[in-house]
Amino acid sequence: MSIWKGLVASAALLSALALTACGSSGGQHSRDGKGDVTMWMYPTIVDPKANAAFWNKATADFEKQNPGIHVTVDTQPWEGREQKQATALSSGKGLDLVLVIPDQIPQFVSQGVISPVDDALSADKEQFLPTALQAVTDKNHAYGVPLYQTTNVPIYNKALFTRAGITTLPSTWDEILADAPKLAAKGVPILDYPAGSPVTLNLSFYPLLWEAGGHIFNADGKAAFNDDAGVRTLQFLLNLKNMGGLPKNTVSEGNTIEGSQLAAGKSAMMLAVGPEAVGQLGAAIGAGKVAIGPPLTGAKQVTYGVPGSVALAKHAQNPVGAMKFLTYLGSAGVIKDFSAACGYFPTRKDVPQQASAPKQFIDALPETFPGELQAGARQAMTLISPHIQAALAGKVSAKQALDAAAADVNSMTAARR
Amino acid sequence: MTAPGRTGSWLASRFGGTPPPEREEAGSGLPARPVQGRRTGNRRTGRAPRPWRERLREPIAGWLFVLPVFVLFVIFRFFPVLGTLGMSFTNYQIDGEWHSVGARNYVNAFHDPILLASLRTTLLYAAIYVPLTVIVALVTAVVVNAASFGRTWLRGALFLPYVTSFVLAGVIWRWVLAADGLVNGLLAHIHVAGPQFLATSSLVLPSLATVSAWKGFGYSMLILYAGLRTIPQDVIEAGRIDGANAWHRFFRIQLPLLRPTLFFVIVIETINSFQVFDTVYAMTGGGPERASYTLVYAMYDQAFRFFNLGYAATIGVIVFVLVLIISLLQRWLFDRPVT
Repeated sequence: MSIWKGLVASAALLSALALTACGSSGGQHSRDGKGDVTMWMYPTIVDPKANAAFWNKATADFEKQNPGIHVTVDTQPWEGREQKQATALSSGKGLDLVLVIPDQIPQFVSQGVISPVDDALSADKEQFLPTALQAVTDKNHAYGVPLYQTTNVPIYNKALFTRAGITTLPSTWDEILADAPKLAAKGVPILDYPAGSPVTLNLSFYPLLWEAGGHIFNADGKAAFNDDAGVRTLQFLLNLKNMGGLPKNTVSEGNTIEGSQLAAGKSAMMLAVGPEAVGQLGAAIGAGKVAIGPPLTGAKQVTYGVPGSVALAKHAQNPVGAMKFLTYLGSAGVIKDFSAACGYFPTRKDVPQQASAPKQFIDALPETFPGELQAGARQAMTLISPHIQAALAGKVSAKQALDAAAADVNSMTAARR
Repeated sequence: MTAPGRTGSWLASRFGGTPPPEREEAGSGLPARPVQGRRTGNRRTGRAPRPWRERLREPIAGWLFVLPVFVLFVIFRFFPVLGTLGMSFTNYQIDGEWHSVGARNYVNAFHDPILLASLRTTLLYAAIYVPLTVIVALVTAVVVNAASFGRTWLRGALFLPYVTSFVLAGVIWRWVLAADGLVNGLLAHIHVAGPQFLATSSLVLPSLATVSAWKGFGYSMLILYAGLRTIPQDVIEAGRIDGANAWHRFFRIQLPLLRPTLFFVIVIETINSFQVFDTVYAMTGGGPERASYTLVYAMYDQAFRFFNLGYAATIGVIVFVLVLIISLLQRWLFDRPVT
């Protein structure tokens, strides 16, 4: 091959690579919203076929009403959700709309990567549940259209309780402490507590803390979880562990039914699960053995649950089209159909609950709390978890663990200011 | 039968053989061929020097062939490294806003107890992972090399973990090492209470290093196997005739000749050990009690959980410098001429 042939071949290859690299860009931006809109959704509708069927119909109906706007709903895995969202939102590529939960909103607002969506809600704002609206509001602006409401309740393997001679399933801290030794005598830890890393504390330590009357942050945004309520919460777990009430591997346990001690029939209950967990646990241990109960009561009764809401990326390629789709998503018809498909609960007052929805979940909705919404709330979990693990490993006391965690969290918040 | 160059001399002194003749073609056992005169244009051949255009022809052709890869390397490797270095002196935000903070990120890094602990964790992990992987790779390479049949199948089977998705493999390994998993189940059969591999701080790093070695040894095995195949059989044969047993032949002949390959493998595996992420991400999330919280996991946390991109870049630069220093140190220690 001559030099010139080599040069031409190199140039052609480089041009091809450059064209390939450029091929994926090219967002369309128009004043009337015509063009493409991309939304990142998650498998809230667990069955992939049902999920695809719902979104195919929803987008087709919208596109019929809004000619010229083409919507792509990209169902992403839950795995790595926060990191992928952060990367996409910061780069301004890949999405116009994205499903978020309330404690992400203050973070994204402070980082300036999402835009207010008040206009999408203005038509019938009063129809949305006030708690759902409050959870998506930051600095007097709504940053998400609440699509569905979740709540979490305890789930039990009632056969294990029966085998230990327990006829009434525990629904308070005291009852759990009373039942734990009876189950431990049968070799069964009562509570499958997910203290692994990096597991959200929204479904493990935080609900217990709120039940004890505690808070994660005080009014100044500093750590408040190392007060008496926090210590009582962690001591409750340590007491359970000492009486054989937690699995030996609790510090590596996750919060999913799949792969859990509960699903293996080796632990008796979990603190907080959503409606989808009922079927999953039924498949694992037999539907007849599964029971759900009201949110636990410590000093008070409370559980964690959020409105899943759709946010608008600040760097959306087609913000007008995206806002039109958001308005459509917030309509009563879509929310009704989505609730039916995913098994969660509607966020609008004018949409009735599904007749098939489990009563315990519907009853838990008034006690449902979306978490303490401030920037840094999710990051605090990463700092608190290792200290809780150290306490559960018996290396430090509850007070020492929470004081050390509070110091880490306060250092983080100080660095942010 | 003779052996090449300096190895041959060593063999001669070790086993009393005859030193090889000078100017022998390496490894072939044949006398060296005369130097080809064509196109050399030097005094020995008596030909006139080539014109500069002709002399540049081959180097330019070579550059043109590597140009696409070189350009990609510059764009996707070199610039990002420079970008990371620049970013490490800023407080780069996720929305693209940034201000220069001088060396503050570096000062913070050296006073960050979590980061310093992650450095200790990474060094400990490397100290377990690198010897484990290299030894397993070396043993399997020797076994594959010595296999008289089914060598291709064996090589493929041993390489398989390397091309397996670790997200899937991580799930399986979590089950294998779980409190009531496969390993502890087998131990229970012989009435031994198995440990909590992933829930005990002191066991989590050896467990992760073992899993990483399972996944990574295939690559090093192939490199070492290729290295073993380049060792001339007549050298081994010479050792055998001179009375060296299998043990001696491996440690006194094959291993010294394999040293450049071994050096490459050790450097690559050391770099891999400092970059460990997927094993930690898929199996422990840095826990328990940050016992498996490595430098790259800390970098990931700072970038994608805490959104401190400038600080994450600083950790990236620290990892880069550490790997560079250790690689140079290894080069100084191991990369000596084969004698």
